[in-house]
Amino acid sequence: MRKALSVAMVIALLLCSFQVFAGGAGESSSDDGVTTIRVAWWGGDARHKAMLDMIAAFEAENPDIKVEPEYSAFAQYGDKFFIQLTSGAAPDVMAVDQPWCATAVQQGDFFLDLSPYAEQLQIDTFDDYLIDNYSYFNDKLLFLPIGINGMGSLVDTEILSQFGFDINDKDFTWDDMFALAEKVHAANPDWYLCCTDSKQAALYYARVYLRQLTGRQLINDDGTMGCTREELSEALELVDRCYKENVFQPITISAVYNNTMTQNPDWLNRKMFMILGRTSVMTETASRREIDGHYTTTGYVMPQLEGGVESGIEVRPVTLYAVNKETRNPDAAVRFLEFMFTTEAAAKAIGSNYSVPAREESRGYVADVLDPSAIENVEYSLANAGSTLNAWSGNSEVEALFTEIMEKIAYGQYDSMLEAADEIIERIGMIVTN
Amino acid sequence: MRISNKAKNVIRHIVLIAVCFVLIYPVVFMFFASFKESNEVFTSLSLFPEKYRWENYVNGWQAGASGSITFTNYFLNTFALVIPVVFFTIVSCSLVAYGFARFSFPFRKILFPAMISTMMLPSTVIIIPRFMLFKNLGWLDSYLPFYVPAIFACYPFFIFLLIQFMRNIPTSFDESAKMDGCSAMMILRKIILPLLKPAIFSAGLFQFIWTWDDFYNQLIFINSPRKFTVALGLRLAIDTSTETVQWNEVMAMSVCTIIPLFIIFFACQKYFVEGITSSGIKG
Repeated sequence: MRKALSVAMVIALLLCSFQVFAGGAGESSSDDGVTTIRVAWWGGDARHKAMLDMIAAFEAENPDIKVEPEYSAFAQYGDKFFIQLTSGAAPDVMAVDQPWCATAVQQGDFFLDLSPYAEQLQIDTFDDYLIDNYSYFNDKLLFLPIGINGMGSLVDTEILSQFGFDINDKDFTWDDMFALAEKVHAANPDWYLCCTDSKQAALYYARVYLRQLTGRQLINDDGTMGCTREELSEALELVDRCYKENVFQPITISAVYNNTMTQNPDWLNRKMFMILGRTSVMTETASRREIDGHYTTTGYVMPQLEGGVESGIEVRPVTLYAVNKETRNPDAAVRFLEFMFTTEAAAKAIGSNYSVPAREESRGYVADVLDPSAIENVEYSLANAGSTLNAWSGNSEVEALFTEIMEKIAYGQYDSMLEAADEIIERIGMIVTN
Repeated sequence: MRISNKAKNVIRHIVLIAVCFVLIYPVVFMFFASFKESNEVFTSLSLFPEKYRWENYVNGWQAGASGSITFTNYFLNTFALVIPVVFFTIVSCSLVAYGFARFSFPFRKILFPAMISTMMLPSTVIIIPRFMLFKNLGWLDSYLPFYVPAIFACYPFFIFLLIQFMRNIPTSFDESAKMDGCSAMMILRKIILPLLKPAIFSAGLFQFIWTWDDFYNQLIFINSPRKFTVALGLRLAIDTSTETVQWNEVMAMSVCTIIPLFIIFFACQKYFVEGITSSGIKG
């Protein structure tokens, strides 16, 4: 009897499972006059909640459209993004990270050209710099930026002011940084000026320095190198010096916190005092500042190269949104984007979750929730922006290569930085050829 | 100098305890970290929290993001995924193993190595073709990519395990049953399966743990958060790109996530060990 009961239970459970879960959501669909669209993004809890609130407001205003949300953390989103895209299973509306745009466009024609909808989406109200530099590929309007990222630093002013650091010094140079780092480390051998990881070292030190030095792209549009091996090695020398002169914590300690450097206990315990990064990092850390009360963000300090050709400050979108070219419901997808990007209700629901909004009007809607120093940083970055990265220089494989080389430099695996530069040049050649 | 047996025993136990401690430390760390404050998880060297914060479990369970989806949903989804997969795996793999172990049929000598060779194929290699196949079948964002392979015995390891065990069951049992009028299916049901119980438990337990822990396949095939399993739900809370991760809550939910595995494992440990040792696959 017991056995029979168990078997019956198992079967019942299986049937239930099938009933509930058999049908895949699959592609967007239209039933009973209601169109369903899939919308995907990445983020943390706060962003998910904000987006879901925004979607609820959209559905209330557009009862003929149902949104199926698909959200995850950044790493998982990235894992899935290209698989879904290349296999034709991508959502109708999707968030795209800026370095992925060029790679995705190189791999195929996956995104809907939004040019015919430019008026509906009020493209002329977006920040021109972002639209001109990041939205168009092959004369097609493919990506809409939702927020702006400038570049600057996050600084523990309370400690650093003791060493003569001036938060308003816009002419802070790399040499000043080394001098400051020396004082900091001399005061306490456990202290290091900058908190970083390999990727940050690649993007905010080596790459920025190289652009300040040359004013050119790392890789030209035709795939040839935009800098000489000597120029590249000079930029790598900067990172090498940072490790050797104790600007950075030794990698044997910091490697554990690769990609999670703000979780490094020595940063949390105030043994490191500066992070170079993008505006969104500052916005993110604003929440921690409330807890700890001793971090002060600043919109200015991005070390400069004396006699440099340009500022090296990159201004780029926080996240871009695109529509799947294969969507069965382009109109519904565009209506969703229109609501998300242009309405006050959406801007208020999203708040500061995408840093400073890319539309000036939207910035006005959320002025009360934005971090003032983030706005200051974006404005300063826009006014002092260097040239934008081209597709090759911002390519995700190239960024990964640089990150790997930074690690090898940190572990002292090169006799000279020329050797490291040669390896980069050789491997970039392979990436471009492939 | 001869070391006495007693001293040898003491040394052996000290070494074993030390190794056990190293192995179990991450779990112990996770358990105590689940009561700490988020910052304390990484900043404090102490294993024990300054204050036991039970609210980590409450907040973690509610999963922050969207009030409507909590870990209750993730657990229900996981059971709805794992239980049928285990059930189907046991049924289908037993049948296939029975076929290979007891019957002669054309191409058997080719089919068996072919089946075993699929075991050598890393799952990451076939993830893209599988994704394309399931997409064309319209199975994405459902649990069918997990159920159907289980129904069709796509787990050669379990087939191999069951075959090894079946080979230890004397064929004279089958012959006697046959003489008494049993059909092939009846022999399986009345003779083989009852004797196969330890191996079935082992296969079931392995499949339960592996499916429960399987993150990558679930990530690729399931899109909607309302269908997420605990593995996906847990990872959803760890986004380092936008904000500070509440590690204490992540740890609390990790503790909850492994509880079913602990219960199942210890409840079935007796059969599990018996199944592994007597099937000839010795760890």
